[in-house]
Amino acid sequence: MTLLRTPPATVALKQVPDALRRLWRQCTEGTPDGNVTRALTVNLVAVTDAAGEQELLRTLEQARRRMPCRLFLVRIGTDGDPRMATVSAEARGFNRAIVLEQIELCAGDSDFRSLASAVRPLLVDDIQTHLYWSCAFPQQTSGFDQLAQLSDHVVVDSAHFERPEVDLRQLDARRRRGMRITDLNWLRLRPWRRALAEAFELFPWTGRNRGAVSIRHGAGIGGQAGALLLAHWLEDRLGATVALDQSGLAKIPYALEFHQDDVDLRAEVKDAHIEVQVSTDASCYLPFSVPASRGRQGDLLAAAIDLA
Amino acid sequence: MSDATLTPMPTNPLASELEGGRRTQPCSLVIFGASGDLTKRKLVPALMGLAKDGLLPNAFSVVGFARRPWGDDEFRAELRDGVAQFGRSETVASFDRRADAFSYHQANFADPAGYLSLRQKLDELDRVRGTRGNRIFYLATPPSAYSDILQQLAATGLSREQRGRFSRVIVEKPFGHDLDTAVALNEQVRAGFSERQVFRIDHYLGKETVQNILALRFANGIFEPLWNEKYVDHVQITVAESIGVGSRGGYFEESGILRDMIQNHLLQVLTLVAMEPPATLTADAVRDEKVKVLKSIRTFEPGEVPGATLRARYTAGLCAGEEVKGYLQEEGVPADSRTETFAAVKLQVHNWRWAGTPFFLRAGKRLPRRVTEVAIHFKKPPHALFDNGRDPNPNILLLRIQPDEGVSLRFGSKVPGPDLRIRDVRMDFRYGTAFGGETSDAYERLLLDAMAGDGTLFARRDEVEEAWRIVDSIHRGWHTGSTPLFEHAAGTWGPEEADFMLGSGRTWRKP
Repeated sequence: MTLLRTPPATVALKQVPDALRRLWRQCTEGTPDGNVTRALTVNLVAVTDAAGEQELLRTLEQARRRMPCRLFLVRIGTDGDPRMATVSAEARGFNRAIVLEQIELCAGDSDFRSLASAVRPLLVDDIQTHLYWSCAFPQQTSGFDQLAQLSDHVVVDSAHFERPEVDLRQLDARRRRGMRITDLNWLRLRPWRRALAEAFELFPWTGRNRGAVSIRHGAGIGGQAGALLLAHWLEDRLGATVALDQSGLAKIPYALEFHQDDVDLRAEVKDAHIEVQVSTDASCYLPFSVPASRGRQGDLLAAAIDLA
Repeated sequence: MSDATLTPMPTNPLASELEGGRRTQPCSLVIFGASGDLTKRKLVPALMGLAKDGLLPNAFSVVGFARRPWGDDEFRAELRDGVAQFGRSETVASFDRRADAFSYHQANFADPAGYLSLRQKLDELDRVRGTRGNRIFYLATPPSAYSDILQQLAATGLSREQRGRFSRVIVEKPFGHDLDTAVALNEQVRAGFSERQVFRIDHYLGKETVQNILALRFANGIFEPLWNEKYVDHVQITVAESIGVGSRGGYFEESGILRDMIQNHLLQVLTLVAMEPPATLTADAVRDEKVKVLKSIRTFEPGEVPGATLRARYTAGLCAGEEVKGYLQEEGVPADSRTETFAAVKLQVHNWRWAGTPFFLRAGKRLPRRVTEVAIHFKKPPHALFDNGRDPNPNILLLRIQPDEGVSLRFGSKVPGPDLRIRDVRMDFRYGTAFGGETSDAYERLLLDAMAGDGTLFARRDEVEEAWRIVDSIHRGWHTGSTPLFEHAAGTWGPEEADFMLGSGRTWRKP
């Protein structure tokens, strides 16, 4: 498949629309009819700090294959010039459909009012805008909220949260106010939730199993925030109190143990699958497995945007 | 989209995690004719695609039922080879993880003992693999074997649903050879299975782009107001293949392109294009509307057939730069054959929406390229204002089903400059560019739906019989009347005469 990436051009913020038009012309040079096809399906505002930049770039590289977009790559906490932007484009296929328009921007630590005002007029009309906040949830939340207000949907990853209990509460408060938020960590837990759900298919759950639940949770399953999300989910679904123990499985990061009344369950990742063993007083069931993960961080991000 | 199934699920407080609405249940899939090509090339690779995506239930088993003297190991080796050759990326690993779920059962299709031992085997699988007595029977055999299999399934009680266990049958096309044989087949099916248990596969309906016809029409506000005889001049539906009949000459000689393609794929696509909006997306609501379209197409009188249809066969020619044989030189084709490899049909849907707007269907082998598309040709503006009064080209909304799946709209635009000249430009949406990723095979979707008990994308009995009613009347006309059998060189878009049937000012697209 033909792939063309234009060299980056750094321009003043006000010059970005003209710079984009120049990129379109570059992308169509040499094509039979010179027509421009743009296949953009979303605006994506991706925010990173210096520590997370490389990971974000990898994530976006994976996600973009499923998601042609106008990408605003925002580096926060840097001393770059916030009045300048670096633009580039990527075209794909024989007809060179433009699948990426990338605008790189810099911002300070916490106040993004000028950044938000710069981004707003550059958003492509009539398609959804997603904010991907790829770093830790900020202690000063005003900047986050300013960018979130630009967006139809916000994506975070609570695996990166430094104070999971506090930060998850902050997210919940925003959800209650109507902000549409997807946590990649919740999607990451999906195979584990599925494994538990498949296990509950094996024995009839009549409501008798309403005793306390205890979970031993490997740290690799979404970190501390992942454990909290799983515990809250089980509390909600089973109507039971859940005691969380992260100490016992420190050496096996990708394992989970569940105990409630006579139900014992152990799940562990082996060979890209979650192998699950379930027993009750009455039966010891054949082990089963579910795929451990649908993909990489970029696939999770693309899935989050699809789901929105 | 799912209709209610018989099986009440056990209470599971976490059930919402099990793939949302498209929830499959533990089951055994019995494939009759499992030593054949379809199983190796399509069915098992599709199952492993589902497994890779985590959509196959854990409590699942496959029993291959065929006459060939194989054991489990040979069967699995054959299937693994098929997954490696024809499966999506990384599906071999899925097969290796689940290889022990595949077993082989050697028996003759007409032998009652083979079915009794099959029942024992399935009961045993229920016990050790947790498949809960749920069974799906897939008829991947030549149609000549259907009768024996259906009879034995009914006789041994394997078709019966009881105590919340489901039993379903998937039937591959062709669903009969004409209306009489289709009715006879449907009666045989009905002896063991109720219509709700029957899933007739037309793999075209599993294609994303075919389903997108419904999405385009009913998820958007702008198209539906124009989707009628007031604004649409005509519709062209094309299924073109660049290959010839190859080693299928014997089979093709019995069917011809009319029965092989138009009776099923093209008429199914036509119903989706022409149907009224269903009240809901349940299987019966959608299929009710599709059947109404077929019922609105009148049976041809023999005398009407020559004017409304055209048939032809390919002769030797050049395809993609290579010399290819003519149909009469293909293996298994008799020298005095009168079978068509190209057919074009003009259908009128006699209802309020489409009165006077013809649907032109065209299918052929050895055409210049493989393409399936629906082209909605809109009426021209009533007054030619530009280009010195020259008639403008009509707008065309093109739904490309394969390859380069997508949608494009052709419209006129002013050429920059001092003159008011108009040039056609095209607004293009391509699935591959906009959504990327690996598209799943049509069989994946259809197997998943059958496991979930959702019949929306399967042909119902009345659809099949209505389609045969229309096709039979054309066939009768061809064989009792004076419809000539034209010839066209391989690698061309059919005989020139095909344009005449469209009416003045219209031509077939050359996609």
